[in-house]
This record gives sequence, structure tokens and C-alpha cells, in this order.
Amino acid sequence: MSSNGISRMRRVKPLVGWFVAVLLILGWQAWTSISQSIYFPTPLDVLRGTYNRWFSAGLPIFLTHDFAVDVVPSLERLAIGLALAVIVGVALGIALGRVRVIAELVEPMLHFMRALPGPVLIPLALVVVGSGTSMRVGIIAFGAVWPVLFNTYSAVKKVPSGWLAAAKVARLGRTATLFRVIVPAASTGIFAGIRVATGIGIILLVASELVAASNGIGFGLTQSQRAFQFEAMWIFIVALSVLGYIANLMLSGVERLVLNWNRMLRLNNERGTGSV
Amino acid sequence: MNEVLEVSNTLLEVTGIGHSYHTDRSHHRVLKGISFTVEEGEFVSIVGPSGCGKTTLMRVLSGLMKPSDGAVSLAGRAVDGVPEGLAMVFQDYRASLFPWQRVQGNVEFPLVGHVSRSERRERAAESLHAVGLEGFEQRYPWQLSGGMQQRVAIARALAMRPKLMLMDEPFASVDAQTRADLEDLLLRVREQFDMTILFVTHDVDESVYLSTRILSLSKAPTVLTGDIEVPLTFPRDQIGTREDPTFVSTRGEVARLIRDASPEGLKTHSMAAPRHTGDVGLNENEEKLCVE
Repeated sequence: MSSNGISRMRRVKPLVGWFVAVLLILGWQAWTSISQSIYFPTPLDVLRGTYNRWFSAGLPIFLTHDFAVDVVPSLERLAIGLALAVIVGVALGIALGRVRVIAELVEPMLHFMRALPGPVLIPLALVVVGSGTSMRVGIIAFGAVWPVLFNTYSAVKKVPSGWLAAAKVARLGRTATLFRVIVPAASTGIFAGIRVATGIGIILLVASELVAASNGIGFGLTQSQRAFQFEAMWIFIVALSVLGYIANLMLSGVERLVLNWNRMLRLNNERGTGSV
Repeated sequence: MNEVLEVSNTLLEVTGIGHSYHTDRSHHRVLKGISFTVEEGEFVSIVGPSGCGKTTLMRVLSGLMKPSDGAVSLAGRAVDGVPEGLAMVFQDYRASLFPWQRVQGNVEFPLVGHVSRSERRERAAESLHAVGLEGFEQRYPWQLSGGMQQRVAIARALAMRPKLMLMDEPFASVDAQTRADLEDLLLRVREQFDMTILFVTHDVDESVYLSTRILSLSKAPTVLTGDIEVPLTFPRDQIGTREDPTFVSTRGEVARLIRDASPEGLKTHSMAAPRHTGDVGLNENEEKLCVE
């Protein structure tokens, strides 16, 4: 395919996507206005409800007290849980990828632990850690650490021997080799892991807030369901998808910043013009 | 008096190198009792039939690998790990240049932590100028052609200001015209940077064209089969030098050495064989064996 064709596709595709999304929302609006079901409020109602519930505090902050109760605790838990997952996952993944003894010792056990679905641990964690924020952060971190760990591990193992030889010829020490060759070489793999981990983190966030919580998005969701507040339920559902969308946007932003070379390299390869 | 002078000029001393690879089932001997010395200022080519010998020898000489037997010393000091004053250019530039760094960063890479920032800039500029790549500092290596990438790899080696530059079939993966250009470029920078070069190739013509001396190796288990001076003067010329009767006779001498070392090997890839095509598969095997 010509590069012209690709660039035209790139320009047209997002527009079409937005157009389809708008059509879907209009359809939803039309359908929910006609149907009298109380379970399905119209998108406009959901939007108005969202504004009233969270964004109607007026200048200068907009955010209401409900926002601080419904959303902020969830954001905190997700951020801390994911940060822990990334730190532990990258560190362990590098250790496993670089030191064969460690990999031989713990890899089977890690696969066994990974097979455990995160929510399964919630009842146990409730008993052991209690129902505080640390329990929920721990559940998120435990579930999200695996994709980061295994992606880092395999990316580190796959670092071409030529790059390591180049580091040796440059007489780099172990630490310098780690930070100047291994981590950059594995960065695309690590990033792919973080992307998957973020999705898992959001699922576990909600799951952990469904039980024994007093605030957060998951808690709000169950509360409104029990109180037959279907519009509020929809507010939380939409909020979750927006949260996922924003998290993804932020990741893409960071990726663009840190891994811009890789994006350019991929474009370069797609065009099939490796040379000047 | 004379002897003392000679000793002080010896840059690389290789004594009784032998090496075997061990796998679960077998034990593969690749190098056997290899000894030679390289004097300062020489351009020594190592030629021989395909097999693990050459690459293994290079890895041993560079300190990347410990041999089973024997010792290497550079400028009088025993080699244990990559020594100071040594640079290496590999065959596969894609596997040695970092795609996340621009040309500038790639060339400065071995200097970070060793010399100041301003000196890094200066040396990178000088090296890139020497290989004719000024103006490409801010490109990424993968935006350049194969020949240009190998020039970046050479510039990186030059920036280290090495006393000894090891080159492992550096021009095997570029086309013939680019290869001739790179050969002349190498001879120019050798003069400019006053380096001693040890150059592995399986191309007899290339070895004669570039070198002051040629060492020939046999098939595995590899031993040294010949040590030939190349009586050609510098500067050399891609057309003139190759017409020189001395070039032709030396070329014949080296080719005969290789044929005698592997009588059956010559049938599969003749000495006048295409320069890189036929050997790619064999090289892959060589690599695999070496990694094991």
C-alpha cells in the first residue's frame, strides 16, 4: 500500500469512529425516550445527573462533596495499586530475566500464583488485612502485577546479545548496562504490560469496592442499585468507562513521550523504507 | 637492542589459544593451539573457511569470552574481560546500534561515564566527520541505509580512540559498491586515527586489499595454517591495486592456503563465490554454535 493511502486512512479513520459513536448515542437517546423502562434512563438524563452529582459545586473547583466520596478514593486506590504493581513487576521481571537461578527457583510458583483470579483473594484479604484502603490497594496490586512482571521478564530475556556485547565492549558496569541498555531495550515490552495491568486494575478496583466499602465507584454502584436509583447506577457505569478511557489516554501520552522512537520505527517499517 | 625495540612494539600477543564448546551430548573443539602476535600499526586480516573458529577467536581476543586454554595480552597486560583501548565492530550493525538512540547518542555511548560531556561532543563530531556522516547526528540509525549504519558503528568505535580495533566480518551484509566504499573509508580512518586493526573476513580479495598481513585458519578444530605478509604499498586503489601482479599472486597464495585447509569446503563455496550470499546460512550456524 502506498504511503499516501496509509496517511489518508489515518486521517479518515478517527473521524468515522467518532461519527459511529455519535450515531450510537443518538440511537440510545431515541430508544430510551420511547421506551418507558425505568432501568434505562436517557443519556441526557445520565449526563445531567452526572453534572448535578459531581460537577455542580460552582467556581472555582466545580467538584462536589459527592465527587470526593464517590470518585477520589477510587482514583487513589487505583493509582497506588498500579504504581506498586509496576514497581514490583518491573523489578522482579528484571531480576528473573537477568539471573537464571532466580527464574528457575520462582517461575513455576509465579505461574501458579498468576492463575489465581484477583477477586478470589478478597474474602481472605478482608479477614487478614481488614476492609481498609490497604486491602483494596493490595488486591489491585496483586492482580495487576502479573502482566507487568511477565512482560518485563520476557522482554529482558529477549534483549539481543549484540546489544549486551556492545555494552561489554564499551566497558559498562552492571548498573550502567541495566539502565542504559536492558531497560530501554525492554521498555516497549514493559509498556505493553502496564497497559494490560491498567485494565485489570480497574476491574479489581470495582470488585474490591463491591464488598465492605464505604466509598468509591464500586461502592456507589452497589448502593444505588440497592436504593433502586437506576440513574445513579448509570452515572457510575459511564464514569468507569470514562475512567478507563482517560487512563488509556494518559498511557498513550506517556508512551508518546518515552517511546517516541519506537512509534517512529514502526511507522518507518510499515512504509517499508528502511533507508534514506 | 633490536629485540627490545621489537618487544615494545608488540600490541597483541596470543599464546596457545584453544577452545571447546560443551553441550549436553557433545563436545565441540573449535580452536586449537593458536599463537600469533600483532605489532602496532599492522592491519591483520584473519581468513578461513566458514565454521565457528573466526567468530570465537574474535570473542576471545576481545575479552568477551574466556578461552578453555591459552592467554591473550594487549599492550603487555593479560586480557581478562574487555580491556581498555579496544573497540569492536560487529557484522550485524542492527544488533549493535541502539534503535532508541540517535546517531549522536549511539556514537557517544561508550564514552558516557568515562569522559566529560564536552569531550564526548568533540569526539563524536570528529568520528562522524571521519566516516562522512556529519549532518546525520539527529537521525535514528534505522532511518539510515545499511552502509551508513555500519559507518555509525565504525564512528562509535573511533570515538573510543582505540589502540586496537577488532572487526568481525563488518562488511558482510552490505552490497558490493557500498563495501568497496567502506573498505576505502576504513583505510583512511586507520591512517587518521593511527590504529592497529584485526579484521575477520571470509573474502580473500578483501583481505589482500586491506591488509599488511594475513593469517589463515583451518576448519574446526581451527589451527593457524599460514602467516603471509602483503607486500603492497599504501594508499591502495580499488582498481589499480587489484590489477597489481603482487595483489594477484598474494591473492592466489592465500586462496591456496584456504583450499588446502578445507579441500571439500571449496566445492561448496568457491573462493570467487558471491561475496555474501552463499555464506549467510553458514554464518547463522556459526552464530548458533557460538551462542551454545
